[in-house]
Amino acid sequence: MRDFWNTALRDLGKIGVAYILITVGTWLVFMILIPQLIMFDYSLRPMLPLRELGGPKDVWTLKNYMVFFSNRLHMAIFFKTIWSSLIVTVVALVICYPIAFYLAKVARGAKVGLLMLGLIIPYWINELLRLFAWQIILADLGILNQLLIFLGIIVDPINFRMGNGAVILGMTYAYILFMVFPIYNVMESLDSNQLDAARDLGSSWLRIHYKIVVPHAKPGIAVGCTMTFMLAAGTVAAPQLLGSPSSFWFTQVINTNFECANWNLGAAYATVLMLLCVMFMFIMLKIFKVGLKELTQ
Amino acid sequence: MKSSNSIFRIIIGAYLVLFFAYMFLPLIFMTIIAFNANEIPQITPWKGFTLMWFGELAKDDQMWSALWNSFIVAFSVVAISVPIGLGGALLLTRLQFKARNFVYGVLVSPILTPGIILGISTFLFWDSYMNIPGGLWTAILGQSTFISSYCMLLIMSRAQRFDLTQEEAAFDLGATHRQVFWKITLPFLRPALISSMALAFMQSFDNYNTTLFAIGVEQTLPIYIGTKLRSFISPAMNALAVVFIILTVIGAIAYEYRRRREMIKAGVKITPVPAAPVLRM
Amino acid sequence: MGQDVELLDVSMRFGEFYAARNINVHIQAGEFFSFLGPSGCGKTTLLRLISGFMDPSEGQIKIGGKDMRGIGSNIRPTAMIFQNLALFPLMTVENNIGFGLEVRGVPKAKRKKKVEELIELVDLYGTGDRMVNELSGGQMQRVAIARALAVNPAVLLLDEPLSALDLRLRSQMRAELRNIQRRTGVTFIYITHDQTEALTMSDRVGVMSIGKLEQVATPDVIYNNPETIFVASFVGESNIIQGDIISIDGDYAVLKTTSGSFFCKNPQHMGQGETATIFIRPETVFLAKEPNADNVLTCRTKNLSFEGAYAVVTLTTEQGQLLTMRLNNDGTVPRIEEGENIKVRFSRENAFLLKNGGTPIA
Repeated sequence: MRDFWNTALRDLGKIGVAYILITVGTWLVFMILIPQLIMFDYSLRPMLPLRELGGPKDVWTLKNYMVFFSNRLHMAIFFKTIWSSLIVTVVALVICYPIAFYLAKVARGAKVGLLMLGLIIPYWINELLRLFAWQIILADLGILNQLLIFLGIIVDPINFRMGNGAVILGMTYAYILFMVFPIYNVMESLDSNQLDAARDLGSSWLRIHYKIVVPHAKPGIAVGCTMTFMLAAGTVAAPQLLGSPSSFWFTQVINTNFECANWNLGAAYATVLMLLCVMFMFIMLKIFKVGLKELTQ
Repeated sequence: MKSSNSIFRIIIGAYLVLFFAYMFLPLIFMTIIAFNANEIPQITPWKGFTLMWFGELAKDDQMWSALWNSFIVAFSVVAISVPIGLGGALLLTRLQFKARNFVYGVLVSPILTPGIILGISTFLFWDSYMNIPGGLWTAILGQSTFISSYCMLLIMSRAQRFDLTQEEAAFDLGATHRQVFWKITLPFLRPALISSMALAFMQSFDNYNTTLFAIGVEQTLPIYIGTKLRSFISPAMNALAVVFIILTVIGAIAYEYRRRREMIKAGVKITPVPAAPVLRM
Repeated sequence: MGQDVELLDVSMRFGEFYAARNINVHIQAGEFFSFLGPSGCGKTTLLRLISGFMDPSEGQIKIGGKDMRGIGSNIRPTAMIFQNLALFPLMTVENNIGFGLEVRGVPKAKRKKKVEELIELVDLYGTGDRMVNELSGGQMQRVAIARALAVNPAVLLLDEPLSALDLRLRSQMRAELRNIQRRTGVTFIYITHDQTEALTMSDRVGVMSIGKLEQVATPDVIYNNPETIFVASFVGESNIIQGDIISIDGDYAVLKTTSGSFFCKNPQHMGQGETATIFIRPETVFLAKEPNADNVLTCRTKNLSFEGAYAVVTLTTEQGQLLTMRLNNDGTVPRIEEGENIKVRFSRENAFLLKNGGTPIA
């Protein structure tokens, strides 16, 4: 420990060390850790009128979580959020894997740059506007209905926003690019000679992917899936813009709790969402046998 | 072999066309609608070319005040996140300590946390514990929590390529720590710092989920858009989308161009994405 | 100009590992001193201790008689030339060379004059406003030297600075370094694993094995009178024969080995009954003309490689003792065939007894 400080002071000087301690310390303590802990603390306390705060009733309890687990509707919404996010993740993975591979190992020269720009532009366009585009397409008078009517497939416009399909579609569109880039990044570092060698030895392309490309791309796939799942499960915008008013999503339930000023219950629901995302990340790490350390490279 | 190869190419080509159509067609529709005189934001029926939706947008005071707020928030986030990101990057690249991997994990965790959680926890902490009511300030802090992680990753990826003997050489020649930092370290990190400023600005300007919960009753541009899109949809929103898209395209291309030039200059392999860090974790 | 550098019982420990152990050496002011040793022997650690990038775990470092503990590298009167040179890539040649003056607050005009002087000294005329990465390897080397000299160091520390250059450039730079050292009078402390470099440039050489300083002496003493088996085997080629001392005769002794008994010099005055090693340079092994003289071995020729000016002959005795002989091509050497049996001898003046122990380098 003394060695650590000595080296730190020697390499970075007093001001440098102080700078690091202050910036990172503030960030770590006041922006990352304490707010999370306070949210957790909130979730463990009952909602009380102002005058009873700090009184005998203001103790830790699991009551808020009990409310959640005993509310059938909310549980159903929670599971809907899980499976929808899973669908989004899987669909994004299936669509993006070939794109990432093509960009990383097949395309050459200026084409790569152009296609990459084609991915970067939508990536930077505001999430809300990307969802808005689908709001227009899926509207009763929207292009999709018009097209289907024109083709004679349907007579009356379909209300796409009735079910959950529109939200899932919108989420996929909005977050798909978070899957492409991490996978691309790791595939790019794969030695092309390995692929050529395997091809020379007569491996089928399916086998090449299964044996060489996928094992190499595992960390990227794990990150891509974690990001996509997290964004899908945590989105407020997609259900707000594309969901039907009669079918809520989990983030909307959280939002309602806050709007109804039951912050404690809202905090409990938020904690549940947080735990879901953390669990998903660890499941990804487990499935792809990637260590946290490997992710950090 | 040859024929299977060309079939393969056709399949790939078709796939790419489909994929990029999927990416761009919705945006193109949205753009076209901004110029349709139809009051319902749809392509059909086409009621003639017009710029009136832009005019209507410009008349909206709420939009202007939201835009102004967005600028305040974005500049503040840049001013907070880049210095923090630099501190984190220096900590993780320059100091050796046992808990390094753990600390790294904690410092990037905000990126992997759903935005609404960051918004909620920031709001709860400042509003109820520090008695600072939700507003631009809490939005700035909430956003900075995860944008700092992006900045840190971006700066780290350059700092890792820094040849430390340059600092030693500078010391050895009599420089003080301050001189070493300003004359050697900072000039080396400058491209990454500029990139992280741009990244922080764009991330903040686009942010919806975190801001929604942290900001209380104030509005930034995305909050304004969200509110509008939930209530009454007017093609004025398409006009706003067009402005956004144009700015984004210009920004993305300029940023990309600059970044690539830097990377070529530095003689390193070009990484695909400006937000590469997200992706590198 | 130069100052002396004193290492007093200096040790450097990293965890359990000693990179340097009880090093004692006094480097004179104005001396060209080399630390010679295989990679990983701790010589770079010594240099970094002297330059002040770290402080020793134990012991004391004095420069110009002053204890250096706690004094940072930016205050010590040393300047270092790094193995990778560590030039500042974002600066021009002039700004690189002037860096040390700039951070000391030397006014611009004075700085410029000094930089010009140095550019002349290291023969870099006309490159002042170029960026350093536009230069050739040799030129970069010169910039590094000039940059280090700019701050008027009393001690210049050089960490294998020539290792990246090609052979021809390297020998040219060697001569120039020596030249610059003579002209400036600065103490040079040079680190290398290349014995030729150390022997040709230095006033004195310190040979290091792992963490340990084996011998400090002038190049000719290092070569001709190595004190340990490590030095003998690391510097130059050598033959080694092990045995027991059976008798002592003044400065000489007789060593009994499996291949016979030999008369040798006994500089370390080892006693009768001790086990010891004879050390003989290949160029002091000759063909025996009088078969009954001392120190004659009968050997079979295993291998012969003709190199023009000389031939290297690998021999083995009946008992399996290997021996290398280097024959000068002076026109008197008879033809030797591989597999032939010949008699060779060495003079007792050229054979030294060394204590066993230490790790010989094969």
